[in-house]
Amino acid sequence: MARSSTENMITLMSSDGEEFMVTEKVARECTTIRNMLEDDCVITNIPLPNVTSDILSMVIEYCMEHVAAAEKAAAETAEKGSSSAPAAAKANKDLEEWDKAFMNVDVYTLCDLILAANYLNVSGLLDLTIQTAANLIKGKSPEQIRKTFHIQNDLSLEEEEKIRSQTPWAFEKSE
Amino acid sequence: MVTTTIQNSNKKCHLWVLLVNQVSITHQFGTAIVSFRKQGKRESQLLKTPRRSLQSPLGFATCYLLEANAQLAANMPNIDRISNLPDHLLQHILSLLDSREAVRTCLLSKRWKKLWVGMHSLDLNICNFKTQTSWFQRSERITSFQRFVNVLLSRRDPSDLHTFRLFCQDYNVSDLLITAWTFYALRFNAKVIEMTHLNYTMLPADIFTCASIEELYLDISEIGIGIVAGGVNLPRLRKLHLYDVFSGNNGILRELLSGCPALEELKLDECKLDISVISSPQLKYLYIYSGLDMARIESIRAPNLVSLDLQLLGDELCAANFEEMPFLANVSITVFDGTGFDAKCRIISACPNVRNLKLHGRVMKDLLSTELPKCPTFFNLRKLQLYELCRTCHGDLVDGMLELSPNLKKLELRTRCHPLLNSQISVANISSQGAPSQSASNWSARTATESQLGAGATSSAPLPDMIAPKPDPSTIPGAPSVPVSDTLNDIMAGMREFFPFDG
Repeated sequence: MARSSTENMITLMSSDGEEFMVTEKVARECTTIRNMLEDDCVITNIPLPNVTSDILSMVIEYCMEHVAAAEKAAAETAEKGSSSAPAAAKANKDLEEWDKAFMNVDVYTLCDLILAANYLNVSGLLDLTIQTAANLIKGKSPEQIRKTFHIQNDLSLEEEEKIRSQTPWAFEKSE
Repeated sequence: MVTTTIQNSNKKCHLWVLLVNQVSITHQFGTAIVSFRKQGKRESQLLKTPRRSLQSPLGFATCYLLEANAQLAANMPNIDRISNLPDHLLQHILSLLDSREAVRTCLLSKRWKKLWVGMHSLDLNICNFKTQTSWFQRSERITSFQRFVNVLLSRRDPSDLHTFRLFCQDYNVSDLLITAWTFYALRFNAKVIEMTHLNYTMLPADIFTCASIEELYLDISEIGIGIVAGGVNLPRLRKLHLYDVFSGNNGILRELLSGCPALEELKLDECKLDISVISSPQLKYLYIYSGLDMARIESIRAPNLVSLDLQLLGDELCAANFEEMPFLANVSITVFDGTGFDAKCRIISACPNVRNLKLHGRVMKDLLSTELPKCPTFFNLRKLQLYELCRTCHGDLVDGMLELSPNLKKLELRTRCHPLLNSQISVANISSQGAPSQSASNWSARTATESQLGAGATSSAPLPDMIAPKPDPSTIPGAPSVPVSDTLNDIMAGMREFFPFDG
């Protein structure tokens, strides 16, 4: 983890007691933590009882990458007066690629990440994870969706028929 | 994907922790403990350490990677995590799906049965209904689409909408229903409304007096009659895209823009609207792609404009008078055909701080010759693209432009106008090779004369066989001799000129 002596370090504690030292800038990516810091600026140790260490480390990884990308863009803008469109487009594309690789996780981790992003209020990560979940549903039959997410079908055949007969407008005749 | 991180590794490898995906392997004094999560609880297991891989954590990693992954797979319980997410998150997921797909999740389980009624974005697309070929089946498809939308809207929770997207393709979906659905979106304060392929449906005027709309996209529809009578009031509208929208009413765009004080992006694509005056105080992005019956642009008043892209068919711009736009950084003007420009026109001279400028079209030489005397010095201009203008034929214009651009970094010329290069497109690409912060001493080596640059061109980029004569200005008889200004020399020193052909 990159540390600089000039920046405030904040310790985030996961539900299973692991401690993560991050810079204040990275921590501020999480709106929930930013609000805490703004309410009480001397706080340095934040317990996060809803997030486990493996998920928290991923959230921190995401925030660090996005903070680094934003800093790089800002530095380039400062250097050249204003950012050039192609360089900015390339940086955006790189970050998108990184996001895509970052989302290469199993559905359990994905769901945990959605919850953590929602709890910590990291809007970029929430959008990314929700979109990934939606992409996993897209174009699949109910049976395939159940298999992907291990959803237990607790509907009896009669109930299923009933739903179909109540919402015939949503299904094709042949289905 | 397997990611490994090694923490706390010391030289003798007595103690280190290895993280492989979700499994962490803690190695301490010859034994390793593998920890992983099972049903939310952390479990640990002891592993034997093979002696030969003890030397380094990486050796250990390669040995145990497969085994650890196998452990992970074996211990991953088939528990349903997604159904445990709170309603609003699941509804957020459903809102990103096509509405029909979202409704169909009701069959997944009891948990999912009623979730769809709370989704906050609707994506209604007739293309997702089975393609039918015969006319009879086509009408069946329309009927089932109409029924789907009607029932969906009536059963949905009466809560606010975020996005309302309607895609009707060229099917004859009933106008009355489209109007009714539009009213539904307005009634539930939709922020983003996108209606495509409406087959020239007359939209209700109420869509232009809705306080909640932030983004509005309309395609193939008629707007008009009601507007002027009812007035336009879209206080939050930031983005307005109109494709193939027409109106018989001449003042319609002016009326529309005066009612959108917060508008930042305007895109007009093949619209049949009167665009003579475009006036919008907060506008940042303006795109106009003209259609056949487009009227002339007389003036653009947008003091905050940042980006301007015009693609016009003919003389729409010939008498345009832009008001000064100090923030305008990106300008791209393409005119496919046209006859010339009025002496009074004010286009590029109204953008003193432009950074990237692209002019494309035969009539651009007229634009430059009309406007060059009026232009200020473009101190911010970095990239200049002049298409269908070459230094051979329009050397004075190109040089005039270069003299006004002291900080230019890249110049791109493309032309098909020279007689010897009949119907071939030559591309002259002068791009800075050195860093922008070239020191004065580098510049002092002003040895790069016109002919040397030309000679360099042959070696650096050999021409295809089909083009025999080299388009070097000095070898073409009758070609005007090009005065090389100091600015040009400055730009060309340390630069390379080449003529690849792509015609």
